[in-house]
Amino acid sequence: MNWRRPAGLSTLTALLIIIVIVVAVAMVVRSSHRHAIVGAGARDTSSAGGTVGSPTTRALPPSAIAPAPGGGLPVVARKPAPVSPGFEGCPAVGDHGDAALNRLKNRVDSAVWIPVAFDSVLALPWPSAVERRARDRWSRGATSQVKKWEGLPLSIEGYFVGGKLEGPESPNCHGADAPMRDWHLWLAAQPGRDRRQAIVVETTPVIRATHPAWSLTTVHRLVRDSTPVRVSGWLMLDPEHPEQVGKTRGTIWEIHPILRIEARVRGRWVPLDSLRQRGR
Amino acid sequence: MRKAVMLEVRLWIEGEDEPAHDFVESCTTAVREIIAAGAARRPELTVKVRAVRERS
Repeated sequence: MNWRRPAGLSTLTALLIIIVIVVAVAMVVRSSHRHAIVGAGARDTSSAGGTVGSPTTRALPPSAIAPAPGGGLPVVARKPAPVSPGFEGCPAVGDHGDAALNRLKNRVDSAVWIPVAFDSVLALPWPSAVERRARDRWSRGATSQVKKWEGLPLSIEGYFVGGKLEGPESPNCHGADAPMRDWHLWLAAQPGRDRRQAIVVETTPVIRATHPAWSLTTVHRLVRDSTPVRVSGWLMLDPEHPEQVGKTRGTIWEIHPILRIEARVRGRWVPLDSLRQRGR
Repeated sequence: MRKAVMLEVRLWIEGEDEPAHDFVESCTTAVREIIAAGAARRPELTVKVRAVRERS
């Protein structure tokens, strides 16, 4: 096919027009690509701490949340389905053990977090029949009791009273390197070192990958300085360690995974990401 | 005198594996084989593996 230059159009003008067209096409392509990432990828608009691996930040409609009488947990009729894409070749179900539990631990979706009192989670009961049992062996009744609360997007204030790098675990495909292991943190109502009435809250590799500034050193500093913290993430029941209750934890309900960590500094909530950057 | 002891042995096992492959199962099998092979070096002792499970 012959391409003919319109009469009176100089070579330079034609070149400029081509450049403008190329730039415009590139901008359109880039714009649509970014939307594709937000749609399928990750952004937590609720935190200044950067992006997290979530497809969307979903707000529960106020009509779907019924506050419980007596300051307990809110009752949410329809909770968001977990989004668990897997990480670094490790599938959401992990490499062994309770696949459903691992899928919950590996979720990446964010939410508009519901602030609740520390004690409302600490006092939350669970059916003893689920202890040390995989979810596919729970009775329908027990499952129903747990499901009433599990999957609530919560935000809890308290104090870190400890934190450690967890060992290799099935949800993380037994990854041996530190970036492939959870952080096991203890959140308590009072500062100190007492874990007996603490709630275990955990960060996972896939979430930490989007918070490179988070560090256990910073967490340990928050413990040492008795800094108030606010932890946001998904309420989940981990049935594996009921024997620890009253010793190194106060409940087997956990915030797992954590999507957001903030510390109270000079009267305002600051993302953990920023604390590290400021060298506090 | 006949004697017996129940020992708990804590092992850390590390190696290369495909991410989704069941590392616990393959290591459990490996440990049983290692103990069985090593037991032959001490024929005066009867070694029975009662349980191998992951410490969580």
